[in-house]
Amino acid sequence: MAEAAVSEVAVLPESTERTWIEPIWRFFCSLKLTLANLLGLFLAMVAGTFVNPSNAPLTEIQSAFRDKPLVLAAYKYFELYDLFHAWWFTLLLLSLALNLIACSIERLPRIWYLVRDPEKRLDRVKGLRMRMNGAGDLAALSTDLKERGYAVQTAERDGGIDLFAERGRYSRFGVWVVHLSLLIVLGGGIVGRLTAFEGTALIGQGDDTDSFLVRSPDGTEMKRKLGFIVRCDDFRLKEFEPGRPKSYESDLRIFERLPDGSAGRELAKQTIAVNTPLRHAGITLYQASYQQGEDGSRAAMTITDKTTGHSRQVMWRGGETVEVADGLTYKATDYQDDFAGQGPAVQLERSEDGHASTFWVFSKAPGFDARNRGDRFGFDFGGLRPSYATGLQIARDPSTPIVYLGCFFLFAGTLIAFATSHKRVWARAEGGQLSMGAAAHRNPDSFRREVEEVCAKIGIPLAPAQ
Amino acid sequence: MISADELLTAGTALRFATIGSYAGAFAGYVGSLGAVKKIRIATVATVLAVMGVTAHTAYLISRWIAAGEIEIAARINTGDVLSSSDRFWYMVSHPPYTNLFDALNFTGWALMIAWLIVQRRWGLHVVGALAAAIALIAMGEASLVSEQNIEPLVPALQSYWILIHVAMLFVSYALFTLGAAAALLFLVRAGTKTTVLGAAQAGISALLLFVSGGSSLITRAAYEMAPGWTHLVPSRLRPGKFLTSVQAVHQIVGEKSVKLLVEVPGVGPFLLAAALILTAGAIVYFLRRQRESDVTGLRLVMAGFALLTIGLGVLVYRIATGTEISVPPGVQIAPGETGPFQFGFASNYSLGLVALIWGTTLGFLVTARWRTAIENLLPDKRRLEDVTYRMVIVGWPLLGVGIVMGGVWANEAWGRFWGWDPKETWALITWIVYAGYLHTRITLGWTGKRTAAIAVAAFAVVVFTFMGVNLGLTGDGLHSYGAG
Repeated sequence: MAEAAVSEVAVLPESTERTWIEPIWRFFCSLKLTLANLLGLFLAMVAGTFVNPSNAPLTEIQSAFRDKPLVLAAYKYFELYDLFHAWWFTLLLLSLALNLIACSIERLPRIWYLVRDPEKRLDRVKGLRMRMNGAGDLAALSTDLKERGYAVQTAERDGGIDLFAERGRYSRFGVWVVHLSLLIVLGGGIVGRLTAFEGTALIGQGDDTDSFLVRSPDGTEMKRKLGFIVRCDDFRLKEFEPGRPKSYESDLRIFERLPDGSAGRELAKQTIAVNTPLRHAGITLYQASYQQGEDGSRAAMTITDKTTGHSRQVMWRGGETVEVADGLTYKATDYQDDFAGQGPAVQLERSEDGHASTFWVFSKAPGFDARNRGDRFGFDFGGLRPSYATGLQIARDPSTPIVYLGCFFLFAGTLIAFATSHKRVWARAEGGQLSMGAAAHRNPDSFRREVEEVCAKIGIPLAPAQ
Repeated sequence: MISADELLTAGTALRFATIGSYAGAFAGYVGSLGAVKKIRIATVATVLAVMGVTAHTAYLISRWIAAGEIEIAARINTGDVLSSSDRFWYMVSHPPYTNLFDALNFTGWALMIAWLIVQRRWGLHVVGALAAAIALIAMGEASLVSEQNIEPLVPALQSYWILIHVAMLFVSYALFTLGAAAALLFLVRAGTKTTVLGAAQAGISALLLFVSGGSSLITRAAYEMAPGWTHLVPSRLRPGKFLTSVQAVHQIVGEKSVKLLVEVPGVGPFLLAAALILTAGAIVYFLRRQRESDVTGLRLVMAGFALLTIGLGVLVYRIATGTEISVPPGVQIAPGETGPFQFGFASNYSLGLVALIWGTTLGFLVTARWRTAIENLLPDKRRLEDVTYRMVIVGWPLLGVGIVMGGVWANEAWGRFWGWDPKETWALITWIVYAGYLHTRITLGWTGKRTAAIAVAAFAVVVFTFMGVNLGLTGDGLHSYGAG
């Protein structure tokens, strides 16, 4: 920022009016407030990672600090159990937002003024670090600058010619865009605080749910309705070897929830894994965890409808009855690790119109049941599986697009602010003599090289850097 | 195609070649400062640095391909049928920075690349000496990490985002490191009083020692570290063979399993004494900050350094010899984790921090002792300042983009853009600190010692973000799988 002397933003005439709002406005515009905010956020965030490292709810903290009433009071009053959502942390962010708004409003007209109405006369520009003089041709300078992409203007005045050339003036808006983008991100944060929710649901294999659990930081839990029914057909824990997970997958289906609470039409079907969630109606279901079921193992059974050839898989609980077609039910009644030397087998009981019969399905003999039993449905037993419940994280965050928009502006603004530069060249030709001055608001070294090239071309020596 | 085993063997050789080249480059850069024929020695140093970076790049690529082959083999061995696009994805899905060992090597590489770019433009061989030294420290510390095997990535890391998000952050850390090195040299060159440097250095060292030791160091003079346990894992590449894998020991507290911390015998008293004496040194230096230098302060720091050296020596000894620990009474070890429990693996973060404090204290003592001579060797301070600024204006946006990319990934994997997870929060803290640096510099127009001091202090934040979050003080959060 060697060229800071050439004002970053144009200086507007000082307002002579004295109003009550003036000092307040100055306070929110001040850079000291910015630095105080950044320092405050720094300290608060550092503290935030230490005060409640395991994210314990208030109830746990209450029992941990039972003997230290003062510490407990601090935790409660300053909401240290959830520091990042505490009232004072929100105030800090609000102060930063006001600071950003004030600075942006204050700056915009000045940048605008500088971009729309630049100082075009060399003799009026102050604090230039690059100045040169010599016998040179203004037309050659003008041509060369034009070739380099500069917008060149000339004007005759007092028997001489003034030249003003500039490039990349919109670079001045870069910092402004960065600040604006942060406001958008903070705005997204507010929208998120008001509208977003996040909860969990534990669904056993073959079970469904129409609600999920939201845990608030004070330790209370609340049930929320989903608005639809989600069913977990299967959960698979795949491992490279015991203890080394390869993937966690759940086969989910989403159904319309009828007024009586039962499942209606199927609306969506997807297998989710850790990095591939299911999105439905603005709500996203993530594979977050799993639990080994407490109700014993399940039989992995494939049921094939011989009339249509369709088959589906069922994770069958011991004693569970499955209605396969109208009035036709099957119940898992027994299991043997090794049935008469034939390996693992499940006994099913078929019931139709009050008539019941039992049969065995062997895991070692796929297709055997379908071939040997005269029935509409054939069964294949894929072996006993541990029963799991899939742990879903259920979230909705309408603020995400706003935050992304803010981030996009942040990138764009940073790129403009740091990678581009507003370069200006002034010159005056009078009586065969050429006086020149030049300034760039960023990257002065490379600009100096560019000016050196220009000067070399028109034959004017560049004054050494100060 | 070359097998993963051959690649890993070649990688080990390449890694040693890299370390050798960097050591030579370091010696060359230091030598060029005092030598008469500066140019020739500097050229040799540069050639060595370029050779080192070339070997380093080859090493990282070999490791990347080997990891890809391991990912593919692991899936084929568990019965997956992979299409050619699956194969391509798994080939690139495991970049060489997903555990602590690889992350340290990768950051060292990014640092040396950044240095070569700086050298092209600014020269400044003294910064090169520091850059090579830091790269050597990073790779040396990686050598101490016991978990160097490549294991298939856990489900949470199986995403293309890992290719973008993590690399950006590590590159930004490398740039900040180089910027801090230049800022430190600037402070010395700009004639900052030895007393002021000493007060800051000893004070921060003592503080970091207390933090890394926690309450057990202060109340019981006991330095605690996380021990590890070794178990055999069937090799995916050579069926029938086993790999040894070292993991942290966990204990069951209530319903949760947390990392077990036990006292390292013979370390605590030395580190506590060192921390106390360094505090005293900092206070003496601070009280006499009007003077140029101070003998009492220097002696205290030297005494603290001696104690620190002994403590660090015992620490290294315990880790190197794999001292077996006995489980303290009343501790319930997590099921499936069996002894012998030894200091090794998870202890690396503690070791890294203590070693860093030791190194900076040594650096300070050398500077304090040969102040005038060093000051005269240093280049124009304005160029040093320029390097710091350039590193920050490239590193800061990169860090910002990296954080946002992490948010996008988090939104896709966990359902929220931002969750105030310790690693996330510390990355944002780093971003805010450098935003502060830029505001003081650009808007307030601060230059010189004050901004350089901010850049050096900000480096402490970078170190904590990179390693401190994994010490176990701030809770594991969702990023704990990153470095095991």
